[in-house]
Amino acid sequence: MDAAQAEILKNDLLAKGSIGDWKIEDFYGNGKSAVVMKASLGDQTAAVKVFHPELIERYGKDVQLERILREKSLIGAEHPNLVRIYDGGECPVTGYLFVVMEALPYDSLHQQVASIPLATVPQIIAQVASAARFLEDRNLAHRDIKPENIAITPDFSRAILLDLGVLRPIGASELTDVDQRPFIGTLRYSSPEFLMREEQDTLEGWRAISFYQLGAVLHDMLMRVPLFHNFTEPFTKLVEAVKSETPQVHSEDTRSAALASRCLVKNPNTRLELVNWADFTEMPTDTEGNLIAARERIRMRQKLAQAILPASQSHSNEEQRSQRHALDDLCNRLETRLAALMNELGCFPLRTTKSEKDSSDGFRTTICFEKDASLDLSLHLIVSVEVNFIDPNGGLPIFRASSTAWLSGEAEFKPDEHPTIPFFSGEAQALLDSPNLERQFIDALEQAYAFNDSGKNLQSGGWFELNIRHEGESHV
Amino acid sequence: MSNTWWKDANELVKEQADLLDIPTDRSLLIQGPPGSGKTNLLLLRANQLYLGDKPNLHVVVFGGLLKRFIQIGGAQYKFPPEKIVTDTRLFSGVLQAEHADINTKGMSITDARDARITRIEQLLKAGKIGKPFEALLLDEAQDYSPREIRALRQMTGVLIATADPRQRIYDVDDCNEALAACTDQVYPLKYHFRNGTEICRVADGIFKGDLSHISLIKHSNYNEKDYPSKVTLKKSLSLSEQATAIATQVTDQRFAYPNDLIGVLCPLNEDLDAIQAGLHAAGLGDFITRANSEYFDPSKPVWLSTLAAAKGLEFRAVHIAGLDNLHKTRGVQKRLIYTGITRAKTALTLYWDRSIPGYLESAIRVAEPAKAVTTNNIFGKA
Repeated sequence: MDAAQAEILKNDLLAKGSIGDWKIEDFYGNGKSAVVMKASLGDQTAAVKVFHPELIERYGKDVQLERILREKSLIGAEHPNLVRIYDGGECPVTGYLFVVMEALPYDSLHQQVASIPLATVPQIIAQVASAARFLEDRNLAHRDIKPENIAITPDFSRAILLDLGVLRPIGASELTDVDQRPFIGTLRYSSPEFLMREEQDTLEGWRAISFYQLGAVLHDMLMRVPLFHNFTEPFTKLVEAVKSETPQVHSEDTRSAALASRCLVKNPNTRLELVNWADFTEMPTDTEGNLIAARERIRMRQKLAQAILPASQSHSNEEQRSQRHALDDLCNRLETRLAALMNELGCFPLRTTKSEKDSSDGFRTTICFEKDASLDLSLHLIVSVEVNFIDPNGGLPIFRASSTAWLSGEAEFKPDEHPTIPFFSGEAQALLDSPNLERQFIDALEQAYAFNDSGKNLQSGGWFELNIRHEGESHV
Repeated sequence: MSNTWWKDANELVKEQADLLDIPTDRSLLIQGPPGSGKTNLLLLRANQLYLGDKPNLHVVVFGGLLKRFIQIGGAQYKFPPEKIVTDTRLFSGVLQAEHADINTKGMSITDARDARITRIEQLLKAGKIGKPFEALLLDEAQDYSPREIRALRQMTGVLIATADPRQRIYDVDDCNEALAACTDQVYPLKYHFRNGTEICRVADGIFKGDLSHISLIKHSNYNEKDYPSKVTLKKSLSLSEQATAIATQVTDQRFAYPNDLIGVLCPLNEDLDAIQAGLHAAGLGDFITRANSEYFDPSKPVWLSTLAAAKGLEFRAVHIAGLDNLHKTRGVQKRLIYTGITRAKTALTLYWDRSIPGYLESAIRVAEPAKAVTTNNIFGKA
């Protein structure tokens, strides 16, 4: 729809004076496929989106109606950060298809991106994420979260996610609009898998796309430019950027910058490892968090520096070798870090450390502590940390660490009999610096004492699996 | 010198402390990796026997340098320094007492040792030598020949020996079986505390693929927090450039570790001469001492020594230079460089010009992993 077509539609609507039950009062604006009119019903004012007949010709009326019905399913679903839907359907008089929604006379985040105070960024992204999650809870994916689709109040206190026109029920693969790309203009904010139409039609698959798009919005607010703004022309350059360019996000708000980087990771599975909904709302509460933030800041700077280096052409053998290298190196550094940690904590008995690098994408470091009567430890405490390579992530590999711990009368090294539970995903240095790594050992020792104090005994040759905390933590 | 010798009983871990509870008339073979506290335990055991009912004893060590080093520890325990003797001195003393000393002038060390032990065996067989000692305590016993061990056993009431077969640096027959046969009990030490994790990894790399090697990293309980360990490689430096590089590092290390010894080691004596001259030229003359010489002054902070003479010592920082000539030490080279590397507690720097043996090159890859290999690289291009 060009400007002239929009003008004709607008004038036609103003002349007809109503659509459905709604009285048309004024013109708000127009998009690529619809005009938005000011309308009212009784004393309720609203915005009516009227679709251009050309769109209906192109995709078919049924498809368009189905979408409107989907939007209408949200009537009565109230969320402070999601535009409210009042009505919609086919006007029996004019034959136009329309959706009636809350009138929000605000600028979009896109228009305001240069003036958003940094301090309000965490709150804004938390609100938008909350709206996206609200949709996910109703088994819907927004699919087009971007600054243009977010209204922001002039005092930046409230953000509202708009344009529910491309909502999609999760897991409905027989859906008629599967191959439509009505929002092709939003390629800039498509995750690589969405761009390639390789997304998984599952809750997690769509969640990964939401995370990516939330990360892109966060990027724009922090960097004050649209994602990939240097790659806009020609079109293929933008496609290439979405597929393989790692965006650089840096800001004084290091926590938000780190979150944006994690959201913008190319591989959706890795993204899901690194991000969860709580990341958008949780604030760091302790100095440990600030320390992590400081480390993040340093890492981001270094990441930026690395991006300037020319990417080397590598061959899959070489990739394998470098993956093995990254693992070997991390294994060495983990052993060293654990050694320093044990000195630092100063409450563990003498230990034997053994690392096994058997699997192709991981290793397992197991520490067996001596029995020590002076410390009232009558059994061997064994703590095992398994690390797996998840994603090369453009030269900053992402690993997942899992752990388990048990008590045994024998100094045995049979970690295979003890499955591990993940406690961390992220870059190597972040793993080594993670307070969660330390926590695995402290928790295990505490649990060992708890076992002692419970008066329980082990059968000879048996073991007792300890229940250490594994709550997730991830840092790119 | 800080932290080299235990000052108090509470510094011992259980496996070390338990040894001192074994009845004093038992003959023991103490086995353990570098840094497991063997020598210190030997010295404490010696003092225990000396203060108890076996004052007629000797601690027997290899070479004058190690003797001086252990005497420093002995002084801390008020153990009489004259009770610490070299193996040569002990055997000569026994022969002199029988007026049967032999002139070994001009003989190689190996030949002289052979001549002495042959003579002692004859005297023992003839019943001329009885049991002149109540106790003998052998440090670094892996370097005695089986014949020497059996003779020493015959001459003493109690035999205590420390050994680590990995550190056997003289080309003598393996005496491990003889040692086990000549003692009542093998006392293994499992844990070690001297070498930082980075250093352990390089040392382990030397014996990579040797199934009998017990990994050092596995049982390391080194204090990595207070002294983070580091291995540094300096290649493509001529011997005089190596001396300059060492001088620069030593100056920094003197500042970083003001109370600790620093070791500068070479496989060959002649290379060590060149390094010594270089360090003098760099203005370090007041701080260095040639450990394997008659001018040795243990009060100096920087000790120069060959790899072989450095056995049993430990340094906060170790520089091993002249590695191009390591291969000239032939059959014992692996154990020699292993011994040298494990002298370092915290900082190890290796220096060479053109090439080092493949096993060493492989071992140091943990300190400096190979970069991505491109096709151009394989053709020798950048």
